[in-house]
Amino acid sequence: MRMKLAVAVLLLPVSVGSVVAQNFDEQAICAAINKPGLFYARSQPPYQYAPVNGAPLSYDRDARFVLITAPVRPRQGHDYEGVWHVRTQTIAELSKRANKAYVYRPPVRTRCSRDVLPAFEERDRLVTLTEYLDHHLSNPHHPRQKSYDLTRRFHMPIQDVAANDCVWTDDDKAFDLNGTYGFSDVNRRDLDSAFEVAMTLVPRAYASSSSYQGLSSQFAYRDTPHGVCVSFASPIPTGPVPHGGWFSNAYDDAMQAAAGWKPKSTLLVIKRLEGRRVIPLTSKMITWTDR
Amino acid sequence: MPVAPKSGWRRLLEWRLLPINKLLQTKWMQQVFPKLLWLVVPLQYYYAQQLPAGFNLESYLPSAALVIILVASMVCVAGVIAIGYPRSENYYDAARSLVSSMLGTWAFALALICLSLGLNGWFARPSDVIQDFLCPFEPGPWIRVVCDSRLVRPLLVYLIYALAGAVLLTILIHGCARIKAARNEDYRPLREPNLVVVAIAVAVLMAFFQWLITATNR
Repeated sequence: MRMKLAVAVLLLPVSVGSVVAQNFDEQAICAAINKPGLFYARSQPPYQYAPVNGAPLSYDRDARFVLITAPVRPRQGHDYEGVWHVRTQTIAELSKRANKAYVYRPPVRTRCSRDVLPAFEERDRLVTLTEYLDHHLSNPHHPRQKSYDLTRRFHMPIQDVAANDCVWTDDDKAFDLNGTYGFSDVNRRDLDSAFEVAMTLVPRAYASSSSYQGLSSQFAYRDTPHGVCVSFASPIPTGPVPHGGWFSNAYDDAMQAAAGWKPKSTLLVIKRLEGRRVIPLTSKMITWTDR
Repeated sequence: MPVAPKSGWRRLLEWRLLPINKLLQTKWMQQVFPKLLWLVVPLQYYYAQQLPAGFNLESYLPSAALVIILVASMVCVAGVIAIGYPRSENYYDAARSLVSSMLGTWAFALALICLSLGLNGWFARPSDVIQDFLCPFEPGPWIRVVCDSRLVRPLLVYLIYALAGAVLLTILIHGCARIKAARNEDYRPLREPNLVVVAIAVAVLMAFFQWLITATNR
């Protein structure tokens, strides 16, 4: 109990200011932690952090999940690249059901890419949930076109050392896309576009299966999986939120709403991709202290 | 007085125009072509389902509403463009010529997109042939700016489909006009619009409606 209290006090929200943009120094955060494990760390000095081990954490929209892997001695031959996929599904009080997903991986040049692959700009990081689900084959019996932006700005080609070739991380022949990247208990058929809602006379009869208010899917890439530090954004509300004005975008609006957001719990799932092999690393339920 | 045969260049230059007059001249074509436009309803339903973030399978009513709004938008946009182009003594003649050209081009462009998705979807996951060709996931430096733009990429892809649709429509009208049939007696020639102008207008509308189909509440 005393431990839980100490962690909660340590991670009291430090920034609920008006600055929306996430500015952080990943190297400085990693240096402050400097030990292997999964942590939740503030993005501003003195980079307070707490291990993600089941103890309640205090929510901060600008904080980062930090994964530090243990160093190992380099093996003979070529090793796999370090590719991690992190998915969060958050239940929050008094906010609307998620109809978008926060999607991000930093700009990256992999062993298989010809050039640096671009990332989503900050304003474009909230993609329609249906677009995300359709891209990842939510309904294998009715496959839809892939989203060009999700392939180019989120996924990447990686090396399969065993097969001695390259594979895109959203290749539907190489991966079970829905199983790897899909959100559990989030059903595509429960989601309508704005036009469908406007043009449907009778509302849908079936109940919504999803109760998540914040959904995110992020990638991190390093040339090696050993002795590296990667970080992922904190959950934010991805449902309809109040508009910030004529020139605001969905991401800015979500970050504004995150300042007063009351998340209760977050399911955090981390997987590592080793060529065509998907290795589940961790699946944790995080509970958030009252704000 | 015998009409002098047109030179090769003249005939080639005429291909830049959509032969709406040939369509209006022939009685059966004037009757059949507008009815064929109903085919866009199932085509649009199919297309709206294939898009990522597109309509749900059971969205019949939104699909029908979308077609009505699309046709209405084409009429409005054509009406606005007709104020300045094609230059005609009578505004309604210019508008009529543009409206019929745009609707025909749109129907053919939509059919081509659906054909591309359908043929691809037969063997694997549906994908757009033109987009795959123009914008691979690691595009060359000369096309990268276009492919990375969320606005320009769909516009370019739709423009190619619309141009191909307009050319197909032109070929079809020329082909059908060779069949000997009864002529319209009350026919009054219209000023024919340029293929490229029609294709641009159709491509812009199609790109806008793609956004409308996939948009969600913020």
